[in-house]
Amino acid sequence: MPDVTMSWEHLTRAAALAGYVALALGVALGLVQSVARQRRMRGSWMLAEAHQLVTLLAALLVATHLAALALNPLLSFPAVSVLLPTGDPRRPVAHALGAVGLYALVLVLASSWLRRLLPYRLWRGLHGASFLVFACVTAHGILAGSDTGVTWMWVVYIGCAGCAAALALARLALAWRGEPGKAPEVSRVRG
Amino acid sequence: MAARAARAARAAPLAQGWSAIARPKEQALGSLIAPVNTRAVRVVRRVATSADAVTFWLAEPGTTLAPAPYLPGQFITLAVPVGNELLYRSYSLCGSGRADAPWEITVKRAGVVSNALCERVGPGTTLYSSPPRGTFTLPYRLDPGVPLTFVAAGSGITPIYGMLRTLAGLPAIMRPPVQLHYASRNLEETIFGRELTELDPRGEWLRCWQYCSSRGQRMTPETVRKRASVAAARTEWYICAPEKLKRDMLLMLHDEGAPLSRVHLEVFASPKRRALALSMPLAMEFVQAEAPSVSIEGQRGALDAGPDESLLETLERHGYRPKFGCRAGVCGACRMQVLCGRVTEDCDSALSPQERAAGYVLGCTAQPLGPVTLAATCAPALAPTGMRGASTGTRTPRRGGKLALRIATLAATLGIFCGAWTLTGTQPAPPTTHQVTPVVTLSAAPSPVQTHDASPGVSVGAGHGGTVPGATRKAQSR
Repeated sequence: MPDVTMSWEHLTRAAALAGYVALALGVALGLVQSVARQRRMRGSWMLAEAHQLVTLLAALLVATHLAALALNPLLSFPAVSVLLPTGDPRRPVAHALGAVGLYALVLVLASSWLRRLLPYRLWRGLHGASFLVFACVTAHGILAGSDTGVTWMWVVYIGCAGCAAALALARLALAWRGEPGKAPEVSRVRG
Repeated sequence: MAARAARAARAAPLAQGWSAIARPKEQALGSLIAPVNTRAVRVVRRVATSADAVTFWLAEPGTTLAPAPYLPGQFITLAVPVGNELLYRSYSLCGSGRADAPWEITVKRAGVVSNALCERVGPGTTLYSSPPRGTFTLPYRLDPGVPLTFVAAGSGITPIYGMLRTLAGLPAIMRPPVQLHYASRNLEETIFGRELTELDPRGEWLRCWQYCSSRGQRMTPETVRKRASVAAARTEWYICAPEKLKRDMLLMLHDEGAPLSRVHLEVFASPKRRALALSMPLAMEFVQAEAPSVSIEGQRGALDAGPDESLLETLERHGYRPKFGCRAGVCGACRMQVLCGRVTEDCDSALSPQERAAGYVLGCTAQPLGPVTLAATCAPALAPTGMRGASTGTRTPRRGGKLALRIATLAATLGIFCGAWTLTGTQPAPPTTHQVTPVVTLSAAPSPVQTHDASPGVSVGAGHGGTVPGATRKAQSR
C-alpha cells in the first residue's frame, strides 16, 4: 500500500519544481515579448498568449504546492501557517520569502486580469513585481527546498535564473540605449 | 504616354519589397522590408549646405526629373532602414516646384536617420519616399499688395527657402514684399546663408533678418513685430519654428488681430511633446488616463496601446496596415473615425470642420486616452490578418490557432510536471541535519512542540518547514 504521506510530500515537491520552471518560463516569455517590442520587431500573438497561459499554470502549480503542504497529514501545516510570512518559526526567512513571493504573484495576476481598469503606468509598475516573485521564489526554493542539495536541482536553479537574468539585462540594456518607442520622439523632426 | 507607362511599370513592384526593386548595380540603403505607400527615388547629387546639413537632389530613377510634381513648401516622408528597423522621417522640399528638376531636401544631423542619410547616402543611392504632401505652401493667388512674412528657426528654413525661390522667379510686378526672420545658433550652422543673400542681391523685394543666438541675438515675437513694417493683420504669416516660438508667435498675432486664415504653420514635433507644450490639462490626462486600447467596430477584442503610441502605430503593431502619408499630422491620409472614447488630437489642420464634427482624427498624431473604438468603414485599408511587410508588432491570431496553442501549452506544462514528478520521485530528498528517513509513522499522541534533536522525534524531508507541530514523527530504522 502506498504511503499517503510520502505521496503528499512527493506532490509538494513536484508541484514546487514544476511551478518554479513554469514561472521562469512565463517570466522569460514576457521578457522576450518586451525585448521584441523594444526592438520594434515583429512579435507573435503566440508569445503573448503563451506568456499569459504559462504564468497562469505556474500559479495553479503553486496553489497545488500549497494545498499539498496544507493537506499533508504528516506536516499538519495549517493553511493559515502556509499563507502567513511568519508561519514557520523554524525557517522564518525561507518561509517569509515564499509567502512574499506568493502575495506578489497574486498581485501580478490580479493586476493583469484588471488591466483594462487600471492606468497603464500602474499596471506596468505592478507587473514589474513579477521580478520580485521570481527572486523570492528562487531564494525560497534554495533555502527551503528538499532537493536543493541535488545536482540537477542546481542545474534547474541556475538555468532558470540565468535565463531570466540574461533576458532582463538585455531588456535593461535596450532601455538604457534608448532604442525603444522613443522613435516617435524624433520621427517627426523635419530636416 | 510611353513615359507614363514606363513610370507605372517601374512603380508597380514597389509594394513587393525593397529588394525586389533595387537593381543589382544600384546602391540601396539597406534591404529590409517593403515600405508601403512609397516610391523609389534616386539620389543624383549631394552638397554640404552648412557645417551639419547636407542637401540631396532626388530624381525619378533613370532621369533627372522630379519624381512627382509638388508645391514649394511641401514635404516628403522617406522610409529609411536603420539596423533592423524601418524608420520614417519627413523632410521639406526646398526646391522651387519645377517638375523638370529633381526634388531637393536638406537634412540636418539631428538623429539616427538624419545621421544615416548624411553619412551613407550619396549619388546613386535609391531611397523610398512618399508623394509630396502638406499645406504649408504659398497662397493659391498671390496678391502683390499683401506682404509675406516668414519666420524660421534652424532647419525650419528648408520649406521657406523653396517658397522664396519661387517668389524670386516671379516677375517683379507680381511679387509681394517679403520679410524673412531666420534664427540659427551661429553662422556656421546657418542653412542657405549664402543662397538667401543671392535671392535678392539688390534688396528689392526681400528683407532678411538673421538672428544668431551665439551672439546674443534672440528671435522673439516682440522683435519680429517691431521689425515688421506692416501691420500684422495685413500680412500672410508663415512660421516654421519650434513649438514654444510658434505658440508665442500665435499669441502675439492673436493679440495683434491677425486672422488665423493668414497664419500658416508647419508643425514638427511628437504628439506628446506637442500636447505638453500646448496644454497642461492634456498633459495631465496622459498620466491619469485609463489603460489605452483600441477596438475596431465589428471586431472582437481590443488592441493594447503603448504609452506613447499613436492610433496608427498601435494598429501597425498589431498587424494592420492603415494608410498613412507624412506621419506628422499634415497630409490627412491616415484619417480615422473615432466612434467611442477620447484621443489627443491637436493637429487637425488636414481635416475639415465636418470631418472633425463627425469624429475623424489623424491616426498618426492622435493618441488614445483610454479605450477607443474606431469605425471599421473609416479606414478601408485596415487589413486584419496575415500581415506581411513593413509593420512591426504582433500578428493577429488565426482561427483555431489560439485553441491549438492553449492545448500545446497545457501539454507542455503537464510535461514539465511529469518531469518534475519523475525527478523528485527517483531522486530522494537529501536528509537534513536532523532527519532519519526510512519509515515514518504517525504517533497516536501528538506532542505539542516539535523538537529538533536527533532523537526519534524528527523533521520531515518535505523541505517546507519540516516541523510537525501537531504530530511527532518517529523514525524506525529497518
